[in-house]
Amino acid sequence: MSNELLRVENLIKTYPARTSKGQPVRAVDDVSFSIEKGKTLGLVGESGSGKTTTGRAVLRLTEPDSGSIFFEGKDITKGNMRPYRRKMQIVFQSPAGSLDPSFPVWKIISEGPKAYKLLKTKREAVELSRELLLRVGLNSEDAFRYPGEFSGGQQQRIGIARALAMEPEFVVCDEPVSALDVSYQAQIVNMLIDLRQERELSYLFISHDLSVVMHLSDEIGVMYQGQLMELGSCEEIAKHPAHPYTRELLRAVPVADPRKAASRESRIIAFPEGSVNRGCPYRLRCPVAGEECGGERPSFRDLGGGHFSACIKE
Amino acid sequence: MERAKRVIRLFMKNRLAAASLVVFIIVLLFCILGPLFTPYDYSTIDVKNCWQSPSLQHPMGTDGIGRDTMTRLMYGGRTTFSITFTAVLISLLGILPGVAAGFWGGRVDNIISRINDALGAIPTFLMVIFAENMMGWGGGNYRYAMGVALIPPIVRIARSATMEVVGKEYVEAARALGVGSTGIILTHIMRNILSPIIVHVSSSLADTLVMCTLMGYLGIGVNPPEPEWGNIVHGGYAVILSKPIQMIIPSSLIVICVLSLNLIGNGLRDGLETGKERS
Amino acid sequence: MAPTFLAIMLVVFLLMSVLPGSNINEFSSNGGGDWLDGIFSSLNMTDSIVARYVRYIVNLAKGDFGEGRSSAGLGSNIFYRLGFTAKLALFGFLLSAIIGIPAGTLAAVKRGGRADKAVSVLTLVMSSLPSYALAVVLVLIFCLYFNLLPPFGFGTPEYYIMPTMVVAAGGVAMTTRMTRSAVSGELGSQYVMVLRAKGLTGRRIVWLHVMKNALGTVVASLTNLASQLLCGTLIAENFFSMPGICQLLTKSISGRNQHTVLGCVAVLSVILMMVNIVSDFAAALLSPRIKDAMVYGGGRQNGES
Repeated sequence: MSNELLRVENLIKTYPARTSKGQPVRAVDDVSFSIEKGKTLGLVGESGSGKTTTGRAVLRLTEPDSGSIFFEGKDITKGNMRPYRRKMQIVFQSPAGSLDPSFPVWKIISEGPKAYKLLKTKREAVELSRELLLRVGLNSEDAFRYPGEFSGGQQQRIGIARALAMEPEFVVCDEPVSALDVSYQAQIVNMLIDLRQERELSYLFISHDLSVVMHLSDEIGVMYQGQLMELGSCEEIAKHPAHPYTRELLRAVPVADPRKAASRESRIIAFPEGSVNRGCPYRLRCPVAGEECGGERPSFRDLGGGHFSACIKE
Repeated sequence: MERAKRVIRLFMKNRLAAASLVVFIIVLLFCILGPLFTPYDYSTIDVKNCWQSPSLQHPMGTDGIGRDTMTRLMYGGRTTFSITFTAVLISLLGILPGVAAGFWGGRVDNIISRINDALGAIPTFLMVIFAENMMGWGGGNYRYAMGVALIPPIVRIARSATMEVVGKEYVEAARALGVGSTGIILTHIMRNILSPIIVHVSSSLADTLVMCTLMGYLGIGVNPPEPEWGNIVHGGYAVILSKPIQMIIPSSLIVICVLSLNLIGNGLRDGLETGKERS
Repeated sequence: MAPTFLAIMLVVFLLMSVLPGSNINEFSSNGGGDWLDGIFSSLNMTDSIVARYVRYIVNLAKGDFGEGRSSAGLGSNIFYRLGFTAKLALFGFLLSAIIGIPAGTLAAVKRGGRADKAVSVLTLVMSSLPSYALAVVLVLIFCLYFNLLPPFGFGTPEYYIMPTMVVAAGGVAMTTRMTRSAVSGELGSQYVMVLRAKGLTGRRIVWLHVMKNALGTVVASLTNLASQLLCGTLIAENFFSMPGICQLLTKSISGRNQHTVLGCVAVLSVILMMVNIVSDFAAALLSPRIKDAMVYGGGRQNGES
């Protein structure tokens, strides 16, 4: 237990309805998981699955409605987050949006340490940012340029440098490569892996791209409509996916061997709009769904070896 | 500061705006330094020489009681500009409530916006007239009322600009880094709301100048004999049919100033807006 | 609207009662009707500020503004002049609309072209020109050089021409700018693209809708325009010696006749407020989109995606 870095229990975040007739949306619906020191949990799901909201809720950038968050054993669900922010950082999805265009790069990177009064002079701040820029593969003279002068991939590196400036132990990576060209994606992902090794970081890696997630996660959580559908080690999920939705996601991953690809089934089911409040949220798309799936919400069943699934059919 | 250099460079490219800036500075110098060079005082009365047309002795003629018009314009410019700038400076007080309303939203926003709307509903002119009436007219007391009347648009602009910034991801990033609310306001928000405010200030300088001279022209501005451009125009009204040049000269000066301010404002707007968009 | 008016008048009233040299206290010590006295004495408030304020407002409503320095009834004076000013303002408004709306529409349609640039230049010039400067120029041209129009006085229509132009000057720039942005906004919106794509719809129908909506937006900011026109009217009445309420206002300010000032301010505020209401109505009538916005309010959209 002393190895546990982050634990999330029964996290719920609801948003009020957008229209007068709509229902409130449960973006995060009773999600629980834990991450050990040095390990990476990948959170996968399509848009709207709640993975981004979960990532933000863990850092309390969005306040959860109920549930608990524990960091290094301490309850950080309520109260002042400031002491913990040093150790918990985030890399955002859109590189351009998360960098203030009116700030020069050195200011962006040193903003965090400056807020904690770790840097006293401008020179120290510039020094620090130069070091970090080199580490993420940029030039040290870039410290004086503005974000607008960089490409998306470079901006993302600046964002990573900024997160590293705080020397965190835990980093939430919110779709850090989704906005980048495929060629850049590999570079950034590899850099994240190197950094993880160097600095003994733990990641909560959020993405809709299962192949990327599988590449760098130790454990994987699959989310759908705010609920955790399956949770387990990367290997287990790749070889023995227990939930139909996980299988659907795996089918979408391109497979090198065309013969193997052809043998995979695919089924397209149209699903009606409207919120699903009863039973398993996936049942409207599920190829193996049955009557009983519309009853109670399936519980998260332990299949052994840290492998959990929320499907009653397996 | 490097950003400022970029904006200035773009501004200078706009020849019209740059020329207007030069013109405006010339006029300012005329008013500030001019009085050092004239032999006259603005209240030297010389009734024998009244209503003179421009001559070597009096490059812009004399007014109804023989005072040299050019000198009066110089001093008058000081008065007019001092009133105008004071009013605009006072209006900048509106930045604070605007940012507060935009940043915290909710009830704070509600209260501030309501008060602001109520204040803005009162037509500027009536407010100014009323204040002048109350505070005793003359002496440019109405500059405070003008300043107050200029506050609502600033509050609105500051508020909407702040709201735009608050929704941006880099503010969330700053929070994640541990920056407190004060820090966020002082850095991210202030830097990013400057441009719309600057643009508005330049155009409100022009409008305030017009309004200030308007008061003078109607005879309800600064007390005579103290000169003010509107006053001088007012004085020229008496002989408009016989010596229209008496009104034309001060009016032209005013028009030149207002036009330059407007062009400068246009140039600033173009410079700031294109300066921000960088892909 | 009423609360705003009462609020303005309250501020006005309080300030006036505090400042020396104001005789508003005597004025509001009586009058307003005996029923008021009855209420106040029963509440023991006969001489309080509240009582005086209420009496003042009631007096206003009855058209009684109190005595000005000249003992002629102020109320009738104001109302007589009001008619004058109203005529002048209306003409000025019409003129600025007649010039401004087509100009703005032209600029919007030929966006970026020479017509647009020309209109922009003209707008810039017009908004930089203080009305009195324009008045001087007009008098120069029409009176001195061409001897066409009489400069001062009132009566026959020719006296109205230049004042109307001065009033309109204040409004033209604003009208043009607003029409241009409103029309180009409409032209760029989706329904126009749809109608054009269909191709079958006649130009006339497209234009009808575009103009209706655009004018709705313009009309909605009529109140701002009214302020501009007010300034224009002030100058026009002053310059051309027309007996309107604005002239009375400026004369009474210079003459330190506080009653009259108060009365004029009150009347003008009421009128502006009525303009506000009318403009909201008209805007809602013209443009269904504006009507929806007014009725349902700006919906607050919560939650992130």
